[in-house]
Amino acid sequence: MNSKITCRNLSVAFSGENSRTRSVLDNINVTFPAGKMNIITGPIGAGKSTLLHTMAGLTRPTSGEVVVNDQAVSRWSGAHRDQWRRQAGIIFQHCHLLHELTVLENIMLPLIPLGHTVSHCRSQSIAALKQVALFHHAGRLANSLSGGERQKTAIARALVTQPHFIFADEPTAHMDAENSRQMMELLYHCTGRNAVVIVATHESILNRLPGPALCYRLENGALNHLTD
Amino acid sequence: MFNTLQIWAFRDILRRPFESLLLAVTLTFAIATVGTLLLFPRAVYDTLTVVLKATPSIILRQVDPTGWRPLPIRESVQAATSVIGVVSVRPRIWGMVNGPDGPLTVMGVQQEGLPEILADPLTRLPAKGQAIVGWGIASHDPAGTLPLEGAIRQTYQVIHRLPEQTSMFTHDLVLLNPLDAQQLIGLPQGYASDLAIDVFHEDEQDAILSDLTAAFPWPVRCVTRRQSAGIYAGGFNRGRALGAITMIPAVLAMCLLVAVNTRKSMGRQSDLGIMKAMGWTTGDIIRLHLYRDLFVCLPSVALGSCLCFFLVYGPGADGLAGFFLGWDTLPPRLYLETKGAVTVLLEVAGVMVAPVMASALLPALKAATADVHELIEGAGRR
Amino acid sequence: MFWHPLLLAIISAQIVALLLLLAGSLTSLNTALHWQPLSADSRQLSLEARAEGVSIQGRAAFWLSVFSAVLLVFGITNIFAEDIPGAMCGTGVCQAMSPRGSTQLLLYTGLLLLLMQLWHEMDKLNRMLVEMPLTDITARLFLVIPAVAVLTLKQTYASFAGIRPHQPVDCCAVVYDQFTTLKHAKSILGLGDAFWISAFIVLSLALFSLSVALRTSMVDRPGIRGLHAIISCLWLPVASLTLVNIFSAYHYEVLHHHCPWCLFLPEHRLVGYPLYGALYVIGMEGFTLFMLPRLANQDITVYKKALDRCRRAANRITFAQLLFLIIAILPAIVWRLHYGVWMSG
Repeated sequence: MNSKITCRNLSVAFSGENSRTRSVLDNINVTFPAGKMNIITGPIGAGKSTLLHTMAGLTRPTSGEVVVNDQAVSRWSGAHRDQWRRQAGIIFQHCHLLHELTVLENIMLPLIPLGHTVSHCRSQSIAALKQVALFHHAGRLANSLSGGERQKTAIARALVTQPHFIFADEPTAHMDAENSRQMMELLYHCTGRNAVVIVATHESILNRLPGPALCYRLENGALNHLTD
Repeated sequence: MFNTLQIWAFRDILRRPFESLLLAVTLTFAIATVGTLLLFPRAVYDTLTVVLKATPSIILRQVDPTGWRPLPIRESVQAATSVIGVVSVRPRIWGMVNGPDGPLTVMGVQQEGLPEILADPLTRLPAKGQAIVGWGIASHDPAGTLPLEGAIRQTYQVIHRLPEQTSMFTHDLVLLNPLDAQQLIGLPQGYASDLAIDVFHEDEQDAILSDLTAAFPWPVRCVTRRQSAGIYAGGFNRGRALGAITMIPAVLAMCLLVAVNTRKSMGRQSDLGIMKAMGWTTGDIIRLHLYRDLFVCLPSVALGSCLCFFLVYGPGADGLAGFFLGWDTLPPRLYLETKGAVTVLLEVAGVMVAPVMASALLPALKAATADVHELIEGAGRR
Repeated sequence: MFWHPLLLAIISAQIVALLLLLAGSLTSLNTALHWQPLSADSRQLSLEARAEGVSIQGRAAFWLSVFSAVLLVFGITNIFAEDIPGAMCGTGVCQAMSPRGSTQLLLYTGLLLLLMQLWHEMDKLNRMLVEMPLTDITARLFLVIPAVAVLTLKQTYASFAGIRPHQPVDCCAVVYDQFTTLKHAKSILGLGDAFWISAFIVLSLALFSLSVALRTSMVDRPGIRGLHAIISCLWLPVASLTLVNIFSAYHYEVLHHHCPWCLFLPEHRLVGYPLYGALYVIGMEGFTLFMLPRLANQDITVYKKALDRCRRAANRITFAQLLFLIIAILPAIVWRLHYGVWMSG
């Protein structure tokens, strides 16, 4: 499968105080190809997370469309949008683990509604945990983990279904250099199976990338292509 | 046996055992309370229906401008039997007198024309000066005598007590020899209180009334079994409806309390947002909530229903009869018919279970249209 | 005024459904006026989001309306009669409401269900496709429904408020007053039983054949759908009349007791529910089968889906018709085999 994601005239604005709207993304036109690492950088508050969330179907654009394989997925109705999200693996900046669940249960979460047996979900989740070297923490509650461990759990949760589209928002923010490199390698590994991988991160990481990437900079609502 | 989602739902309950237990206990007691309030009048009505089925098709009384008056037995029986369709005519001697604890119903009985309800429990009939009393009448005298006051004051020897399960209407009944009864009530010799008439076919009750009225040379008033049933039913159901109206705010308030308390921790919108972001569809989330609440609600419904059944039909009936009807003595035995039980179950389901289930599904339905990002924002602030 | 806990449940369900419909009306009006599917501007995207909400509200209102209608029928046929002196079945309840009031109530309820069913089918079809191509048509249809819902609620209240619980009715007199002579009793609208039986057989065969043809046909047949609609329109009243005037005698085991409501009573094994249920399914599905492709002909993909739904509707009509025929006619056949003659001689 050779997929790509295209943003067509994409704008997102939020209503702020005194019912004034604040434009976050302004008329963005870009295509993210499959099989390559796509890196989006930009200052804090530039709208990197919003762009990822909009592409992943977590929020609706104010105008414009997100097109996947010639389908405007951002305009799909509820049930279809739910199906679109199933194809996407999302890593949140704040991890968003379910704190009352164990690490293993958090990773099992995307597999539960897919109709597999519990043992299948369990074995697949354990495999994902081993990939991020957290197997020994499987039975711990998510709220007892450190920041880096939480991020690793969130990465394992996003990759457990082997999605075609991966949206990672600051996936290594709380990790040391070694762990950060390992996790980026894991994401690079996904490009090998022709997935669309889009990572929002700080510019400082660009020098430490383990492979080639398409880099973009988001600033003042506009997305500019930096370099390959 | 169980699919993955059901197992996940059960695991979810175990994650918050105290909250689930609180919901289950509250719901059980709520169902028991509401069920009792709905079931008790229904049980009285069903009992009434059962009893009315054993009563004569038509009750005929002589009336004048001052009210009802005694009927001359011979002429009345003659007039009634002349009507085509009348199968049997039974003059009845009965009336209200004062007993030691309040008013009682006195009835004169003889072997001929004994009502069906009394035919089985009566082993012998009262002779002159003797009385057979209903289950609810207490005799204060250790010698077993019962003083009664009507047209005359007289004390009778109690020779037998009707068994508890005889009928609701024999509860405060005193059976006397017909002559004793006539004297006590003040009926002249050869007169009866009313006539119990049976007709050939159930549907003829209404049709025969005009012929029956015309057959008597004095004004009479007839009440059919169907009319009695209708009048009582109307009263009971209006009472039930008014009871339901007064009950609804209380029930809703409690449901809201339960819903708010439960949803505060169980139905966090941010959790739903995360689940949706992880590929759960609205349908999956609704199913999860449905399973989770069914696992709690179904045992509560079963337990609550058993509890209200126990309160109405079991030993709890004593207190209930005293509370609702002011019966100080032992309450009569109540009946329940399948239709009545199903109606009450439907009403309990409508009033109690549906709001609780709706409160469980509401967050999921809300999540159906909301932006996942907006749902998750709460978690970000956590 | 007549009070019963079940009536409370019916009116509550109707009020909640009406509130949901009213809440969705404003968005539907905006959708009907400003829907621009080719544009991706902010107004259109906002309308798309709100239209989804209306769809959920409408579905909730639909199921609440179905629920209240089922409760209404259950109440009229099996529950309310016990509170009205002289009433033995729904006829007595309707008589207590006043014949006009009860007819209006049933008509409004039927019309509301018909419109909501059509809207529900359109909405389902719309949601099947990612582009939601029928949103503007469903919005227009949605705008009609609250008016009927208001009338239904008003009529429900008026009909039951008109009942005087202490005033007796004469249930059977209503049924038997329909005719004065035996000859009159043996005819419907001046035509004899033989005519109606023949009409019923011919129309049943026609409806069955057309339904099977539509169910099995792989190509679009608008002509057959039109013919099917006409035959359905004829079959429904003929089937109802023959059921009440001819076949019911074998259920009641009494001649000329032309009561449509007694069939719902437990003493007649509640056959009214499957029999009238089958008529309801045939009516609703027939209406859907005729209307859906006409309303969904803007887009070829949605039209194909509508045709698939029509095939399912034809399938349901076939099964409902078979169910009706079996339940309605079987007692007559059993009677004939047992006694060697038809009841009417």
